Amino acid sequence: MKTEERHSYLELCIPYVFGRLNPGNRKQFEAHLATGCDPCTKELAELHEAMALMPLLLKQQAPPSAVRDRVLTKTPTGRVEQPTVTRKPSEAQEKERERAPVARSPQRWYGYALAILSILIIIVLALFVSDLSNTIGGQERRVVELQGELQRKDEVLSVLRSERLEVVLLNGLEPNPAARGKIVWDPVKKIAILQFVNLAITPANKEYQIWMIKTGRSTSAGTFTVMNEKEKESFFKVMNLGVGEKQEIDGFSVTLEPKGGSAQPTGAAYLRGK
Amino acid sequence: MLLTVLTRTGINQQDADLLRRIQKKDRQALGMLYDRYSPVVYPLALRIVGSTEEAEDVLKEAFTHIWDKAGGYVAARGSIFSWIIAVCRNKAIDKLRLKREKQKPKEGERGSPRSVPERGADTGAQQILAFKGYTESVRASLKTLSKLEERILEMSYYDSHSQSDIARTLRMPLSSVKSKLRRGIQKLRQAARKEGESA
Repeated sequence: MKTEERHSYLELCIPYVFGRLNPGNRKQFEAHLATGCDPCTKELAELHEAMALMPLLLKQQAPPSAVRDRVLTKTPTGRVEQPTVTRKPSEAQEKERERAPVARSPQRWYGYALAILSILIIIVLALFVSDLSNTIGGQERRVVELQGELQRKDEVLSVLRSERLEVVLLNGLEPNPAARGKIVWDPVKKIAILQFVNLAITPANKEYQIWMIKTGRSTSAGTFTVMNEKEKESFFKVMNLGVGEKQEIDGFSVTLEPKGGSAQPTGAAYLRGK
Repeated sequence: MLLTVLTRTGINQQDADLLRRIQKKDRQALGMLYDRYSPVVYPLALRIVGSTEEAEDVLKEAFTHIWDKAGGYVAARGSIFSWIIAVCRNKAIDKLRLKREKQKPKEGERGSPRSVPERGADTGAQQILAFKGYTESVRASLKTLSKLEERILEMSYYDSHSQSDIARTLRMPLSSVKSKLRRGIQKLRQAARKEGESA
């Protein structure tokens, strides 16, 4: 097998472990594994073991005991092992219980009252802890969001700090004439900042797609989604752009396409500029 | 490696014996394997599908798969523990994808909050006491993961989001998501290796 071919199979190990290969690729990769490829088998074993660490980081929690019975009785044959034997009381025992005196001493009532009080305290504490952990969870999510925000700003700054920048202004077209846009990019690193204002919120199952136009042909430069009113007012995104000098292209356009994008523009053009 | 620890503690050998018995349709062996791993795979299923009812279904499907396909385990591709985790995750992800297909949220609408197991100290799980020290040690090793790497790993592993979905959600360039995911996996691998070496 050629080195490049082996390398491309190795590249498939991560998406395979994450279950993100399409059925065709998965079948092909499994057929390759069946040939006994040593590097891929080793890589896969390491990845499986590394990813198996993830659930160890969660708080361990036993499922309800009834699930065990359901799991074991669902399997078709064999002996059922019961974890604990809870024998059904015999009729005589039941009758004996029915006959048992029902009078309860005051001490017993204190016991019940204490038990109920303890349960109430536990419920209140559980609610408090749950609320606290929700707050912490919310704050952790906020920290992640802020880190993402900070990273985006760093990326914007790194583009703006470039010695050379290319800029293309985009104007709104008929479906959305109030929209305006700007694409600023570093022709050396080929990283771009997209900025749009007044671009309508993306409808369900659709995405905006950016096209680079060169000698009448359109090439996709990526997709994006305007998710809410805030983004409608002002949207920006940093992305890789496969174009260097401005002279290499005739302009850009933005169209509305089915989710996932199209190979060629099929929907209405919302913005255009050169 | 994790396998080193599992071998050292004798867990992998015990698991191999159980799997051999399961192949011969010994349900008691399946019960023992269930007792050992359900406290780990149940929170995993719960984290992915978000409801106790569905997590219980995942457990049933996963252990039925183990019962039916015990002979399909390939030792060269990792420990029995990691195989069980992968089986359970795959079943949970299948359920999650099916649910997403059925209830595609409208644009801008947020899904209902899911029941998510906490991260923290273990409770119960007497069956896997052998893992306790290991788990703590892994947690310590993984402190090198940045919040963002951790978030991207979680979105890939538990939520089964594609890298482009993650890039869109976190509004980051796809290349950054790819590099952070790779770095996160690399750190997990280093943690697994480090623990194996110190075992």
